[in-house]
Amino acid sequence: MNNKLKILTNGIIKENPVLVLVLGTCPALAVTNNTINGVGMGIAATFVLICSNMVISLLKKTIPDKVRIPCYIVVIAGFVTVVELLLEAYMKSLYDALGIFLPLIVVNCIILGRAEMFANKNSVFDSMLDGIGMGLGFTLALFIMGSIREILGVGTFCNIPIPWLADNPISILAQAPGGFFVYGFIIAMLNKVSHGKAVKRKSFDCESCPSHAGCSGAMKGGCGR
Amino acid sequence: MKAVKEFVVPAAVLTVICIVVSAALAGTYELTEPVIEAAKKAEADAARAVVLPEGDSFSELDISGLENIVDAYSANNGAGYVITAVSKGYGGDMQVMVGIGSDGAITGTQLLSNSETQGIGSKVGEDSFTSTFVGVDSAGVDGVATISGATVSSTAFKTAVTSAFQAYGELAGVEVATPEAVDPKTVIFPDVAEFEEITVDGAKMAYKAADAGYILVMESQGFSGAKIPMEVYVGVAPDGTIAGVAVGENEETPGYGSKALEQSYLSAYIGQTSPDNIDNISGATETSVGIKKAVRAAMELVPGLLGDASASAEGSAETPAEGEESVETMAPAGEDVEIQAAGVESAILHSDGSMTITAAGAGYRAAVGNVYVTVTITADGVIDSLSVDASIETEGVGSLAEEASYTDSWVGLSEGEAPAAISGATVTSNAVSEAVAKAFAAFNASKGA
Repeated sequence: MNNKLKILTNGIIKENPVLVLVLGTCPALAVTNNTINGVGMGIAATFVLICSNMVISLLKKTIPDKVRIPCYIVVIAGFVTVVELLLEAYMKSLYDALGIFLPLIVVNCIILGRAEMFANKNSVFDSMLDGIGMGLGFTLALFIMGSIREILGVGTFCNIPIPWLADNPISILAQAPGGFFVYGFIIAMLNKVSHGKAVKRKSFDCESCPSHAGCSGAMKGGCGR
Repeated sequence: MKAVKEFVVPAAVLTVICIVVSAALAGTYELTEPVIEAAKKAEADAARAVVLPEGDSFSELDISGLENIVDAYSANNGAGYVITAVSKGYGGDMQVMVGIGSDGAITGTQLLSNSETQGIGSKVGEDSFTSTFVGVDSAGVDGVATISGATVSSTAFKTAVTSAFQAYGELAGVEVATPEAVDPKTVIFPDVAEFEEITVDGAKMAYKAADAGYILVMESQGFSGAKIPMEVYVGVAPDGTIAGVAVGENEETPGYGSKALEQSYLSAYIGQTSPDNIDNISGATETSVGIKKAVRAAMELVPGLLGDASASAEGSAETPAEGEESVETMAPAGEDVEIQAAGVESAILHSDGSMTITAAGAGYRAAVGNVYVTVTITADGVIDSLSVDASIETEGVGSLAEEASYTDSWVGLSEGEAPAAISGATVTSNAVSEAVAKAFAAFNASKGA
């Protein structure tokens, strides 16, 4: 049971996909100028992640190794389109706000990465837990980034104006460069809090890579070798 | 067997997965499609309500046969119409959505897709401009002020609004003012209600404005970049003076050449007999000159016109060229007698037996007007002086015939002789020769008489 809990919490801090694995940075930077957009994106990606993890885990014996990537993409794309249609029908404002990044969940590295790294090696239940954990980690990271950028960059929180800050916004934080500032700042903070355990400072070799376990290059002795 | 496992199975699995996923998508689509459609319609209705606030929901109308219209909707509660029209802006097609209330006045306008220059032409999409149309009816569109610096875009916007009104007239079955409401004829003779069309050789069209006079419609190229010549309406009072000038169809540049089309400038022609005393408008020189040429050509037709009308044969006493040219022509002192001479515009017999004769020759632009030559022939048949009015001819080419280097080459010649033609202006040179020949014919006729 302890093992199951570990799988679930793994994605939230220790292997946070955005802040530690540094995956899915494109949507993380693009949609986090607003808290609600960030959380919406996180939830949409989490939904797709859980579903695709489960389905891929279920089909791991059926899917031939040769066509596994196309199969994953088809499954993921199917779920993304479902999410897209549902959002367009029932949450039009979020659909408009996420724009092109919604269909781009298809190629979100986190989802494909977890399918390749975890789901095709583990049971359906474990894969679901991994999906939830990773999804929560992704959502949390987007929430933190979105909050900081919205509060300081626009002066609102969840579109509610904050006194004084609303009159003195640091506009650059709401723009693309600000995304990078905040992103780097959060990674640094996380590293400080975890005393460098999350992102290993000294050893940048293959073993210390968070993706080591699932990396096909590692089996051949490391990337680029 | 190995081949099956290696190639067939992967393909089959992928195919099955694709089919299953497609089926799942089809199901979701069926489920969400009506919701999405309803949301889209609500959104579109909300967008239309921006220009027609009183409208709630809208139904699309048939727009076949309507020009420059993208779509048209009528409010289901009868509040009015929302028409999207397209016109040519500075950067390309420009779509404008116009809300027209049930009273025929604009309730709102909005700029839709466009390619206007950001920060310049795009200003027509701003509230400060679009809101100036609110309350305007079909007759008032012309009067809406354009944005300085964005004239082309503003004009295109207004054109789209006018198109929308045309469509509104068709759809709602009401009368709308057409932009052609300003008739150049009534600008010249505001008191005349009926214009009788008459035929005058040399004029594109001509009208008789009851007792007030005549209108000659001439064509003249204005700005050299314009694809069509200007239609210049020249009003002629019964006494032979200009009663007014107005320009109809034209393609002069708004804000530049168009300045010369305004009555504040054109009214200077009233009371004149030739365009000689009219100044050109700076920045609209080509247009000003184009109007002058048209007026000059029209005034050439006036003697014939008034002569016919008054049943008098003596219409040729005054020609537009005579006034200016006789000044330049050095006539010998003494008592001058104006004589009748066939085939020429005017002939003056001086006391020393020499004659100053003005004759016309058909030049390069004979369809519009003639080249006039005023020549003084001494009693013994030698050219004493000669001047040419080739203002109708092409600027810089045919007009070279006016220059002293050419006219001086005629001096001293007698009948049948001619100097070398101007290279590049042969036709105009020939016109001068033709006019000189006519002058000699008249000279000989008067000597023989």
